[in-house]
Amino acid sequence: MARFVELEEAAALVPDGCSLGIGRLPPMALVRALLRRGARDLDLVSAPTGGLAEDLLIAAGAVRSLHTSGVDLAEFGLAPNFGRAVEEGSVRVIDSTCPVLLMALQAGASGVSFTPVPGVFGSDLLRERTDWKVIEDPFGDGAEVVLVPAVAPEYSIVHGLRADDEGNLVTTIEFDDRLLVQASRQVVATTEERSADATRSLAADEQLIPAAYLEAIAVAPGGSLPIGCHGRSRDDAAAIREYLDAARDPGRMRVYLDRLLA
Amino acid sequence: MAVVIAREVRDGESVGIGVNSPIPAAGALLARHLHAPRVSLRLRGVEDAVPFVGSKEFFDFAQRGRLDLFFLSGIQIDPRGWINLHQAGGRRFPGAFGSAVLYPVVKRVILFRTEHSPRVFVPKLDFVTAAGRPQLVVTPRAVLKPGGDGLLELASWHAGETAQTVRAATGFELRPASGASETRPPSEEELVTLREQVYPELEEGFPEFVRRLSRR
Repeated sequence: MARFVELEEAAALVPDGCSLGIGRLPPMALVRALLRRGARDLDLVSAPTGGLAEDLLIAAGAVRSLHTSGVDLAEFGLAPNFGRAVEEGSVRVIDSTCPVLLMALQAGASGVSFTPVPGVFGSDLLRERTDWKVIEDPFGDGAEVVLVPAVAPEYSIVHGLRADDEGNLVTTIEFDDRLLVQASRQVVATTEERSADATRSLAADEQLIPAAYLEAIAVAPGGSLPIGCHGRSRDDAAAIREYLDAARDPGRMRVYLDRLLA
Repeated sequence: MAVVIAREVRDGESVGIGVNSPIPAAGALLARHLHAPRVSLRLRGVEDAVPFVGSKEFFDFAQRGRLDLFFLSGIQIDPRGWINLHQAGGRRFPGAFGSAVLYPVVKRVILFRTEHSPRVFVPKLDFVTAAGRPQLVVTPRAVLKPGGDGLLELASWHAGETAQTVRAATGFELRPASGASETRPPSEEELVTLREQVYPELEEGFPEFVRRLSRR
């Protein structure tokens, strides 16, 4: 059973220097709380792609490395702070590709140390990722197969649609946040709302994250904004454009961050 | 571009469309209205999209060879149709997303790129993100297809272009395919269906794309 906590207490549960999975329904309120407490040296893990949450954490200097299949702001284009940090070398990016990172998380969730993956041959990822191995498939007909290490983040943060009093959390089927949670050792969540009957019935496009996986939950209405929350809110396009505008210049980005976290 | 893509979609196929692919999304929806009513879609914001649980289930479906058609793009595209989504000219771009696995495993891949210029169509990629053989490449100027040796050839050029202008905008030698000609222009039916039926359907999944279209 998960504990219900305040947002700032939830942020205090995530230590500096940990590997940290970020849910794809982005826990923006919790990210801002992490930055307010001055989080440092995080090794982020995408599930399996990154967006505004990762770009903001990078802008604030909280990120040491990022294991991802790609980072952008979807329809709003490139993630400026991610691009700049990787070009300057201030953040180390560990490149993967969605199906491989998801299978690596599945291996982490299943408690095995590696997994074979399909495809990838011909890609320079195979040269860049010196931790990936190519072997002859022991069950195949002499064909080669790529092996990748499991991914099991020490912590993950996710945002959900609603939680019941035990802390069972409803999320969308659009993303892979449940898999991220399964693979992670400790999970801190936020939820749009809490109610006794939150999990009594689920829509066809919803799924459950059992409370057994969660350490703590904070109620944070609008906790994904300015990114829209499945079925509840749409992207706040004006706020995202304001972010992008500031992000074009590091000086203006600092001013933006000071105001955001004040 | 959406009309050219729509004509390539076959009835009954399973078609996947990424979250950054509004033009292929428009093409697939247009095909569904016109000649491919039984196409199944994995597409954000469409009510009857296949209800896969997470993107993992979608990728698993593709990895088992069940996905008929997918769309990829590239910051750079080389003469074989291999793509770079990582870095070019010292600049960092988003990354592979699903491409490094999908390109080799999906039955047919159509490349689309909204800029057709020598900096996009390059002889050699700065980084090979994904390798595969495209069915065709669609740009605002032309349609390219791999020839017998796997190298891209000019299949058709759109109205306003010529074989010469397309070749000048391509950073590698682009042979004309046998029978290369002007692209068949969009029909009235294709254009009306696109405007009146497809764009409203895209509003949920691609609001910014539709907003930009409506401002034009």
